[in-house]
Amino acid sequence: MRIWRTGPKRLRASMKLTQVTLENFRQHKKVEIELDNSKSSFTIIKGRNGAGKTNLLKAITWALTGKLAKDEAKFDPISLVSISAASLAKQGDILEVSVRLDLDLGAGKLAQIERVARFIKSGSEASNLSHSSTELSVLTLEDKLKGYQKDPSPELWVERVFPDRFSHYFLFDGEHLHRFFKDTEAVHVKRAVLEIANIDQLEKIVEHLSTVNQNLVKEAGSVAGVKGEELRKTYEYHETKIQDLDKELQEKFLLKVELDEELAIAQEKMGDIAAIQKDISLRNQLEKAAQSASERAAEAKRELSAWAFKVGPAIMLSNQLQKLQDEIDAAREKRVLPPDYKPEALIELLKSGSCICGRGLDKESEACAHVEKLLAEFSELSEIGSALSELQQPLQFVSGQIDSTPNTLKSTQERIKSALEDESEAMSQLSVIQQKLSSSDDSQIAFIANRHQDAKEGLEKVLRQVWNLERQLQEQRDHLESVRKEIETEAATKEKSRVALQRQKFAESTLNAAKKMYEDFSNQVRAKVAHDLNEEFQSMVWKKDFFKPVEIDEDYRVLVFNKHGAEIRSLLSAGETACLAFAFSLTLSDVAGFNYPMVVDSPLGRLDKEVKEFVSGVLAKALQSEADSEGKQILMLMTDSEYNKEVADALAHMKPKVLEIVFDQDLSESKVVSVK
Amino acid sequence: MKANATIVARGIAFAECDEAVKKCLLAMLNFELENSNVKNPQYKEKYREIIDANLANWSQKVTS
Repeated sequence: MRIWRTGPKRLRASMKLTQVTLENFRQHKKVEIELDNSKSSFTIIKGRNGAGKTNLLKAITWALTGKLAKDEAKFDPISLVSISAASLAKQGDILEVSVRLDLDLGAGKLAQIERVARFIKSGSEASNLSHSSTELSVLTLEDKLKGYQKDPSPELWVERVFPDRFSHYFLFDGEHLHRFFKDTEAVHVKRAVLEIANIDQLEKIVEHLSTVNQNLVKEAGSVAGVKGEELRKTYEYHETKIQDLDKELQEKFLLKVELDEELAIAQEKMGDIAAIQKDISLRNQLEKAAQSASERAAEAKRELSAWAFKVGPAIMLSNQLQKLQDEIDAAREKRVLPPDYKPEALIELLKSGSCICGRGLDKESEACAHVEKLLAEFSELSEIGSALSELQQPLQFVSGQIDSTPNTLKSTQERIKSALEDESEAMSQLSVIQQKLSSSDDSQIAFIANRHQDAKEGLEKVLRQVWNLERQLQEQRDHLESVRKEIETEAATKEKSRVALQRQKFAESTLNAAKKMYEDFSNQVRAKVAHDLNEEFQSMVWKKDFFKPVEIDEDYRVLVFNKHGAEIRSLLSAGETACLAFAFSLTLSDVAGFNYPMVVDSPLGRLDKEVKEFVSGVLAKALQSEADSEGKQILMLMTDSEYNKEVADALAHMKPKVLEIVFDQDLSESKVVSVK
Repeated sequence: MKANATIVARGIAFAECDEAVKKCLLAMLNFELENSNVKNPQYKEKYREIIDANLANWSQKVTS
């Protein structure tokens, strides 16, 4: 028997949330939000962080389920109250927090769901409130002439239209969508799928009927005489053993789940360790690089120092000689020293007895005495000239040395500069790495490694225990079945126990039919969900032909394969994961067989800026398709950064009604305004 | 029967098995759905009642 209809998606009765009215609910002192209930039924409420978007989701969830969220079943009712309303209330006042949902059920039928919590103010302070009562009421309008009628069982009415256990698949925070697909969540996904298709009710029937059947076996035994009574006791013994073993097994399963989670965390941490070890290796390399650069700089400095020691005196001597030469040149210029001369010419003049000017140079003459004086002076100067000539050689040597100085100096300085830069760069990178590593030391790494090892060993131990318990359980079940058969044989022999046996056989037959249906329906639902999930997902993802059909395995893990056959769900990008999660939610909505409005807080919250536009585009397309075929109503609560221009453009073709929640700091309350 | 229970209800109604078994299972499903929010439903008595109500129409009989 196929439990699913084939063909196109069926059109369902269109149910729409037309208005949400909040009074004194947290920062919503008095807010009325008219939602778009046109065909597209798509409303966006944007607002800054803290404006009250998430509290709007919580208000709707509270009105429908009495809880603020799936994980917030227990909360202090006082936390619902608007602080400004609590401050304004006078002592003795009764303060009401209320959320009313107006619904259009289609075919002219309307309904109002209202949950009201009442508080009494016992003092002047805002905190002097005590919770008095909480009440749910449902008004329905089926005939306009009769007007709204109060439903006598509002809880049942709401449970029928908005089953509590499905609420978290349709009223959710987009930030948590990724949790659907954690391996440890597979068991929850299984529950979701089975619950949403009501297969879990069949599971309950199997469980309850199994107990009733066992009781009927015992009854048949107890009325089948002495032997039957003995068999009943044996049956009961094995039954108790099975119960004990089953209890122990359940505990082990819980432990296994915990250890699975622990191992998953430890493995994640081990991934961190790998990154830390990589950083440590990099740190060691950088330390070596910094050391090497430092040594090169020191070597170059030493070379510079040795070179300076070698050429330093020459430079100093050169400077002194140059100074001396400059002084001689200056003295000559000032005629303190005579110009260059040739003493041989003066000697020749004295020998010839005549000057070049024609005057006679007779001995004892004044002119001769003058030339002889000049010759004496020149001789004296000649010694200075010789000394200077002798100095030319070291001067040239020193000049040679000095000529190479600028190149040597420059290249050595460059080597020092380069080495110091290398050292500085290495030290800078080292600082970053050391900062990263500062939070993790060796003992911490060892602790994580030990934790991983412990979790692994613990899990192996539990798995062995589970295997052992399952074996014992099977043995006991075999015994039980064997005793049941004996009771059956015994009971069939006696007239008075035959009626009891007949009843038990009927219960057993019903139980077997229920078990078979459970298995059959579960497989069908799993296959159906996998098929629909795949269709939704493939219609959303932008890498066409990259993914093979999405599968859901027997453990209800969602598996995504790439075209090469590799399982890559954990490797999906945040955008792809969001698409998969939305596809999953839309699939559950279809499988559920009823039309629950979707209210999503921060649908694009986890996505990078670049991906937001793209994902919003594909989501819009998929949601539009849902809205067209199913009349599905969607309310998205987005921050300003989520609902940016690109996202707004991508969603524009869905013609959403856009509202904005604005928080008034002065009044400590929010208001909702339309956005054109 | 609740609207969202039609999948399993339809599955049971069209299953190939004894009519008395089907009726029995549908009645049990109805009971479970009505008590889905009850922590410990008094199912033993109700199940016995449902079994007894449908037992007469069961096609198989126990013989000695």
